Amino acid sequence: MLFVIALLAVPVLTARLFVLTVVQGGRLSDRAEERLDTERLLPTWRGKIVDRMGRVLAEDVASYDAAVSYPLAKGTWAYERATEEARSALGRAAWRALSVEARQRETDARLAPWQHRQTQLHEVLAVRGGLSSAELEARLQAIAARIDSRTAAVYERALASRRERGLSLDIPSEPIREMREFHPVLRDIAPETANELRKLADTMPGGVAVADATRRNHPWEATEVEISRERLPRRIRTSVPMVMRLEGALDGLLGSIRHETWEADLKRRPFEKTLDDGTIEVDLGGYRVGPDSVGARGFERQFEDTLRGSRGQVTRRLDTDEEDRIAPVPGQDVRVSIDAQLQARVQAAIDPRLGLTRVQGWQSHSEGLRIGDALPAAAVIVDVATGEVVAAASTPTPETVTRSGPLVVGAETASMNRALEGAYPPGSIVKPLVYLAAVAEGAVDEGESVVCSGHYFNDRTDVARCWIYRSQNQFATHSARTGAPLAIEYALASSCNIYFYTLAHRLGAQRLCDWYRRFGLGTMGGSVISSDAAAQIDARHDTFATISLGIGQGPLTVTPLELANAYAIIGRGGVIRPPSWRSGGHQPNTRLDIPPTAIARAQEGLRRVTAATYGTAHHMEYGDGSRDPIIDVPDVTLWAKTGTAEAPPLRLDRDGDGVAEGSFADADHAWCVALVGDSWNETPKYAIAVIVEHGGGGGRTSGPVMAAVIRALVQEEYLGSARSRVLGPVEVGAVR
Amino acid sequence: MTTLQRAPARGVRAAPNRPVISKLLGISWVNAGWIPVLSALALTLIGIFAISTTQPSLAARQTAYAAVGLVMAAMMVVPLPALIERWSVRVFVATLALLVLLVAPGVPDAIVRPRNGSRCWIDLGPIDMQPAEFAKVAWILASAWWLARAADLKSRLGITLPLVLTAVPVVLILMQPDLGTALLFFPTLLAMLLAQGARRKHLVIVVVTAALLAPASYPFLKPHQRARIDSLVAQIVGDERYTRTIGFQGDRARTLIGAGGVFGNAEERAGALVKFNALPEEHNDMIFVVAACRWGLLGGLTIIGLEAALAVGAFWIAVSTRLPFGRLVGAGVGAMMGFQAFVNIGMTMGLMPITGLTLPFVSSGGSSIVASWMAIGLLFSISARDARAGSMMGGSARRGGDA
Repeated sequence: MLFVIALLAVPVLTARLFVLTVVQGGRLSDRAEERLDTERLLPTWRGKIVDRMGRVLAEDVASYDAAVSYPLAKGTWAYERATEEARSALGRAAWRALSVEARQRETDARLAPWQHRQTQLHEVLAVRGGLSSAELEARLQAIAARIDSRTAAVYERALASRRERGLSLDIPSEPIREMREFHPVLRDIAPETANELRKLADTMPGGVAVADATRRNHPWEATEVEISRERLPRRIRTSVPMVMRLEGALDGLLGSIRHETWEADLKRRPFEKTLDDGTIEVDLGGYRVGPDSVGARGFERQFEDTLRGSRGQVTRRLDTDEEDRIAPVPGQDVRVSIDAQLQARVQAAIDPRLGLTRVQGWQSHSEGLRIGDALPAAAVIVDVATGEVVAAASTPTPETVTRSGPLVVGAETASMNRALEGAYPPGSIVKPLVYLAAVAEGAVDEGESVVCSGHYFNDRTDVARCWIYRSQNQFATHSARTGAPLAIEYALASSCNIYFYTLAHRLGAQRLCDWYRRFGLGTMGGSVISSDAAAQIDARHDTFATISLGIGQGPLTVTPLELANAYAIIGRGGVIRPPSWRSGGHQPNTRLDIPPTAIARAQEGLRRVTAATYGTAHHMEYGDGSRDPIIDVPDVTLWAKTGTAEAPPLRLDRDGDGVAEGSFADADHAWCVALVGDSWNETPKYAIAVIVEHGGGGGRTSGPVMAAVIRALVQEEYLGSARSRVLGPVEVGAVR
Repeated sequence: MTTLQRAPARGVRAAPNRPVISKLLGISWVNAGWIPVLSALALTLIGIFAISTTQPSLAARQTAYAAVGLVMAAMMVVPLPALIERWSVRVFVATLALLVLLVAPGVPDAIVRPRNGSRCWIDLGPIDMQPAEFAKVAWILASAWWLARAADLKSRLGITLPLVLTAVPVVLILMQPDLGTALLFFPTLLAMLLAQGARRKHLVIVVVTAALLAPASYPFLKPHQRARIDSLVAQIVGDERYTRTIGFQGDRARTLIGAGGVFGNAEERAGALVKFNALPEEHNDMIFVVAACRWGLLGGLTIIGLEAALAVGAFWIAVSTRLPFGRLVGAGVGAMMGFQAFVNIGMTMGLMPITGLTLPFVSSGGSSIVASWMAIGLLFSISARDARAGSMMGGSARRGGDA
């Protein structure tokens, strides 16, 4: 019997050995082999963002971070060190033999010096980081909480996967990688602080470390701009130029970087991807859980994939010490379409300190507003030839809010760039588009004239009126003033509503809205009702809704950039070239089917807006009857349009108690959109859109802002200078 | 089924008709005792080479211990088995005293130095002694002495008493604690009872009861022991949840055995694989893993074959000898070493939960190899003094009579 038992045991062991070495041999061998390799990632550098002139707007520079371990963040570091010290002092075996209480005693006896060091570190971190001890504590807790929640998530996932496979759920939660790593608590510390912390780190194993890091440096963080005030409207005109310091004029465009990856990043471009055949593909530029640099907003986000670069990797063979090195690939630089100096000048032009975007006496402002109230505003410049966005400024900025205290309007949306994200009814700005659409659709002959009777409906004088048909004008009409029906040039220059009501009515809402979309309206943040919804307006013969769309009112909002782009299309003779944020890129282009002669007529109408005495942006009249030209810039040709758009009621809460004291329906948005070129060359070079929220009349409020923006273009030699422009490195610094 | 037969008479001395060359010792050179001797020798050599793969310094020590073991084995051949039989109880009591010393309260750490939380070693200055290893052998001798004289093994009392007596060293060893070693005693006792002609029915009852009681003992096990069984079960159903905790050692062991493939790896590479896969106790309980990683399936099969040959050889001696004491010692040593080897190899391959058990003759460890070699020496002595020309052809005892 013993022989049998002995001989039975042999095949059992043999069979199992066969399974392990032969059947599973390959897989197990690979697994054993894998443990001979260690992998280490090498950091990479993020690409620079430079402006169209090559000025550096954002770049990585070396810096130091103060980083703490998980136990230190959690507050268990001193205790862990004391326990470790006790264990090694007593020997592992003796330690194991001790009761829980005895171990506790041994640890407690050694705790004080470690706790002292922990406190000392807290003090250093708080002082050097300029934090209160509560703030530091909050940061440490946030680090620990993040790792704890991550651990919980990993555990949850393990449980979920086990549940799926029908395995027992009685498993312990395992420590994760982040628990062994250091986590930045103070970023970009001074070199002296780094030295101090390094010394401290020597006495605090596993507590604190100084990590080499990179900091995103923004050389154009602060700029100074000198602005001439000689040609401003009379009330704020002076021969003394203003020197304005601007903080973060580019912040909104450049955006920011966050230092932690989010679930969406991991999904979009994971560091490790398991392929269908079970192999793992590593993308060294991909995202991993934990600290990383990720473009969060603005250009940093838009060009993330270009800027990001790809980590390096060192694979070390433990038994032979051989190393395989994949060098890090630095991120590529991105040359954006923005001109930093021009941007600063445009920002200064709309800054309330200059006065153009404050409520002023020469404006027709809402009765709810008071002289001096700062109004939100935006300005954007698009290069007509290329579609590149050269500047896009917005006020208020977060910095304005900090600097000037409570604002009456717009403080809560200060972080938004209104030039790109603000959606407003366009008002009369759409009028040239309506004309071009009507001609293209054959709804009107190019040279057709329309009678301005003051009101569109014969039987009603109180709705669908021309803006000129008012009691203070003795119910004048454009046709009465000219003694003839209006051709398009006059209709545009005087912004006659009746002309465009007529065209819109003939076109119908659906065709009109389709054309708006072709001009890019509602495609970059604004909204134009859908073709189907517009068709329903036509189907129920809602004339009022249809003709309202013809003067840019109704279910239609646009962003300043959309309007600048639409005017750039007119400037290009009907060629569409989507706005671009990169300098020197090639944009696809398509041409709208509009007769060139119609475009020429529309451009002539726009030219007369500032050139003809009846143009809406020709002059402003002061109380004493004297006049000043609204846009007074020599050596440039202008094709402009003003717009006074009915805005949603303005709710004012001056005492900031959260309850609006008043709601004002008369606070129209003031638009001015223009094409501008050199006087000796009748080609539009830049399309500019300016809006002053609740600024009242487009001509009087936004006109002077437009003038200031054009002067900025001239000063930066984009216009008016006969010399050919030298593009190349320009000294970085203040715009003086 | 093969049954071990009772020898015709007790206390029979070695046969007088021997080759001249052996007369001095009164032994016959041609005998079944060579099977365990040669198996053990081969295993010892394999062990030394396997240990040197990861721990060259330990391999040198192991060589020295093996030499001591061989000398001790040779010395075991000198006295007549009857003399050893007479002294066996005294030796057993002495080893029991050492076992008591290990667990007695108040013994200073200088004498019994705890390692990994166990009190298994007596500090003898440059070397340590593990009394349990000697106790195993001494217990076999004492049990053989007792069973050879026991009145009636067919009665229930006859089978109960040896079980109770075995419990003494088992309890002492469990107190160290050393569960693995303690577990070896009962299967060995069963084998010896079987050899001495206990009723198979009784033994079957014992085995079946034990088999039924084993799962019932689960709730009474310590948490870490339960976890080991859990991890064993988990590993069998392909659940990898314990591979970083309690199942770590087993997982790494299986991985490295698999990495050996059919033909194994070069020494340096095998060493690196074992080292960087961080296999704990690789020179000791896990030596089979190192050997399999080094020499692959072929090496593993060689070890299994040699361990089996050793056990079978011991059984052969038990069957061949006319000495009741010798038969019991042969059955006991064969069963103990065979069972130990089976459990050790089985646990490295994930067939059994991991307990602290060495692989006889292969694992690093002085007490173990010396005590094991002493047992082999004794087996040889029994076989050689009892051998006749035909003994290696099998069944001499059954044929009866001297040459």
